[in-house]
This record gives sequence, structure tokens and C-alpha cells, in this order.
Amino acid sequence: MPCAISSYAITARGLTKYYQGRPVVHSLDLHIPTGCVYGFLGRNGAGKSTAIKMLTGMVRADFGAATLLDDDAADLSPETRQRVAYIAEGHPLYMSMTIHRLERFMRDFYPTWNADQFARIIDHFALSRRRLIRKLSLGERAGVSLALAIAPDPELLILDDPTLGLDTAVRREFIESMIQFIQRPGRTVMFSSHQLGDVERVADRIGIIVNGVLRVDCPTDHFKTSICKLILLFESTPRPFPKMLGVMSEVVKGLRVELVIADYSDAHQNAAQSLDPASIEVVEMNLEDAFVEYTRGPRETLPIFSGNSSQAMVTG
Amino acid sequence: MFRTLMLKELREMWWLPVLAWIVMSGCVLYQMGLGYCLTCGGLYWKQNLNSTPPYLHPVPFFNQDLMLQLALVGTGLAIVLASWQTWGESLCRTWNFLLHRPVRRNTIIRSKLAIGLTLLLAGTGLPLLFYALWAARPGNHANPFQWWMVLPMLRIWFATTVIYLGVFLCGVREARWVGSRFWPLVPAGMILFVQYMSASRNGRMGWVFDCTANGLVIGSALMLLAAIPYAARNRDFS
Repeated sequence: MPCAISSYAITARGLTKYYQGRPVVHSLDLHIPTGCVYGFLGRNGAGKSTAIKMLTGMVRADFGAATLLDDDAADLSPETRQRVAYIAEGHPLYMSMTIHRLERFMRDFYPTWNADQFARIIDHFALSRRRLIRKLSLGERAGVSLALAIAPDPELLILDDPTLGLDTAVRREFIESMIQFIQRPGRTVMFSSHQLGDVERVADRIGIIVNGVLRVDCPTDHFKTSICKLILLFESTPRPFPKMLGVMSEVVKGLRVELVIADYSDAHQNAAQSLDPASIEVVEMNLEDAFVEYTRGPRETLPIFSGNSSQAMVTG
Repeated sequence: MFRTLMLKELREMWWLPVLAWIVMSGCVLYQMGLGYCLTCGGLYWKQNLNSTPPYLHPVPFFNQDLMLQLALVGTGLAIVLASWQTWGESLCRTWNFLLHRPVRRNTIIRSKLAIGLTLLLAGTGLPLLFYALWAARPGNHANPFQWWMVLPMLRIWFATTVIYLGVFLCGVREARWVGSRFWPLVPAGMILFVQYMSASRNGRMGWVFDCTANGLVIGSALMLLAAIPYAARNRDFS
């Protein structure tokens, strides 16, 4: 589903947070269009959760500002919160309540509460409403979390690593329920995840945060095509590849050289040919491989991807 | 929505004041002679006594033991209630879930405080009310009783709210290390102690001291009530 650019559901400008003098999130600029499914990626400790908490007003930014549905994220009004669903990492819910009690607690806050929708998701996860939350497995709790988040019919859904710790079957059920939500027009989803396969399935656009800095913000397909692996085979000892912008890693295995390159261009191809290899093979990477290669490279030399929803710009 | 939030707090914590109520009721019944009756009944049954000496009731509410018991039970209940409402949410990581509900953060905190204070005062206050009604009824004991005699006990009863609010503030405020987190408890504990000393001496420390103690309790309670929403509004719930 392509992102509409008519308006932005989430914007952030220069969002920065320091913990003990260290910038955990540094100058985060985000523009997530309405109707977009945005995968927010990063390694552990990269700053994803802190960024999401700043966007939902749980953590105060030291610098910068953000808006959610055109409302100041630092002080969201109750009216805006009614339109935004947020699932925190680990699906924290009140353990002493039953599912039924939790639903009653929640529906008092939302005039748009859709009891049928809630029932559908609960049934999808085959849960009895009389069960106590503390007796549920993490996967079942994730189902309840999702049902509670979607039942008020929100315009914006923010999920912080919702599939963390779930087995494959539950993860798939969770993603399917989320896809059903996305299929309604005008709904925006921002979710962080380490499950790159899930992200690849549902996200129109991704952002990658590395050490608190947003290094990638582009359509998912663009990122995948921007990162590629170059395999050079030589008949004699290979010479080192010239230092160029975009070369993220170079591994020499005997007469075989493997290069991971961001934003592969004619310049890279010419440089490879100048080494006079016996063969040159360009291998496309899936999102997971591209992400791994991108985030483990020498970060200070990585290119920064930016741009709006319709195109991505690669800058040095 | 305020009602929904209060019901949630009530459902989670109703059993805490019930426990305090049982303990305080036991203390009050002991003052009313229940312990003596049980002892005499045991003696009567064991030693085949024909009669027991009459029980001399202490003067109602002029009793150091009951004051100390009230201070201890009230303090204990205040600490557990406030901790449950604040650190309980932190330990279960439910602050984010609660704070994302479409109500102002102040409303959430106010609902917690309203229920916490009500449960605290009811848990220790109801047995005292029962004791006062019993004492006011002629024929129950051989002592004079005037309603003003309840005042010293009421002063201690109300002073436990300062402990509750102090612990609540510790639970919602940010601090770099555990020592500085608990500093609001130091003045709160001192104020309760001063009030206890003043109330238990029953005017012998002079009216200036008594008024100062009362002023400290009311002033600090008001300050804490203002500080708690401020601290909750300006902290990170990470």
C-alpha cells in the first residue's frame, strides 16, 4: 500500500534525548505520512523505544519537538490520545484483571469503542474473557493488547516491538490481525521490530536508527535495492578495492572478494572492473541481510538516506 | 472517566484497608475490655471462679497505647498503599498503559490520590469512630467522655496522610539514586513524630507547640498535594 502524502500522522524535528550525558536519540527528524506503515528498525539500544516514548509523550525530549496527528506530542490532549493506540514493549497489562474486566475498564474511555472488533480479535486468539491476564502466555497477552488497541478504532497505531518473544505461529497471527487493521484506509502504523521478515511483509517505508541517529528513512523496496553485495572472483591475489563512498564492508576469502555497497552505482562498477577480476556478480539482498550489513558497517562512513514517501534521496 | 479510574484503584487495593481495619479494630476492642473478658473467661473456665473483678476501662482516647498503635498501623498502611499505587505500576510496567488513556495525567494522579487517602483514613478511622460512639453512650464505662477528647487521636490519624503523600511523591518523582529518591520521607516522618509527641502529651507542651505541629501537618500535606502532580507531569515514564 503506497503512502499518501496529503498529511503527516507523525512528525519530529530535532528530537533529542540524553541519558547521563549520552545522547540516546540525537536530532531525530521524522515525517510519517498518513496511511503509511512505517517499520522503525535498529539494533538493541539504538534508541527505538526512547524515540517512540518521546513520540507518545511518555518521555520528555531534551531538544526538539514532535507532533502526533497535528498535536504536540509532549502534551497530547485526551482527544488526540483517543485517536492514537500505543502498545508498549512486553505488552504490559493489569495482571489482576480478567480480559472482560480490562475491556470494561478500557471502553469507558472511548466513545468509539467497537465491541465486535474486540470480540473478533479475542476469538481469533481463542481466548476466554474470564481468564486472568496473569494466567496468559506472552502470546495471548499480545493478542489482548492488540484487541484493546484496535477496538477504539484509532487512526494511528504505534507499537514498540510487539512481536518480541512470540513464537512463529503467534507472531503470524499478530501480524495478520495488524494487516486487517491496516487494510482500512487512512490508518497509519508505526512499529519497531527485530523481525525483519515481518517488516518486509507489511512496511511501506522503513527508518533505521543507529546509535540514536536516524540513518535511513526511505521506502522499504528502495532500501533493499540500495544495498547490494558485489562478489568478485580473481585468478591471482586480489588488490584491495579503492576507498569509495558507500562501501560498507570488504571481505577477502582467498581469490574471492565480497563487498557490501550502499547505493550501488556506475562508479562502483568501474572501480570493480579496474581491478580486473575474472567475474563480477551483483547479488540483491533481502531486508534482513541488508539491515545486518548496513548496521554493522563502519557507521561514520555510511551514507544517509532521506526523502519523502515517493522517492528516496541518497546523500553523502 | 474519573469514576472508572477510581474504581480501578479501589478494586486493586480494597483489601489493604480491610487488613488495617481488622488490626485497628482489635486494638480498639482490647481497649474496650475484650481482652480482659477473654482472660477472665479463660480463668473462670479453668479455675472455676464464681466471679471476676470488674474491668477498669481506661479513659477513652486518653490512652498512649492506642495512640501509638494508631500511629504505627496508620504509617504502615500509608506506606503500603502509596507504594502499591506508584512502585506497583512501575514494577508491572503499566504506567505507559495507564498514562496513554485519553485523560489528563493530572486526572489519573488525582484519582489515585483520592482513593488512596480515602482508604487510608477509612482503614484506621472507622474503628476509631466505632470506639467514639461506644464511649459516648452512657453506661458503657465509668469515665467521663466529651467529644473534644477525640481530638488528639484525630490529629495523629490525620497526620498519617503526610506519610502517605510523602511515599507517593517518592514513587512518582525522578531521582538519580535511591537515597535522594526517598528524601521526602524524612520531613514527613519528622512531622508525624512531632504531631505524635504533641498529641500524646495532650496540651502539656503548650498551645504554641500544638498549633505549630498542626500547621506543619496541614502545610506539608498541601505542599505534597501540589508537588505530586508537578512531579508526575515532569518525569519520564521510560
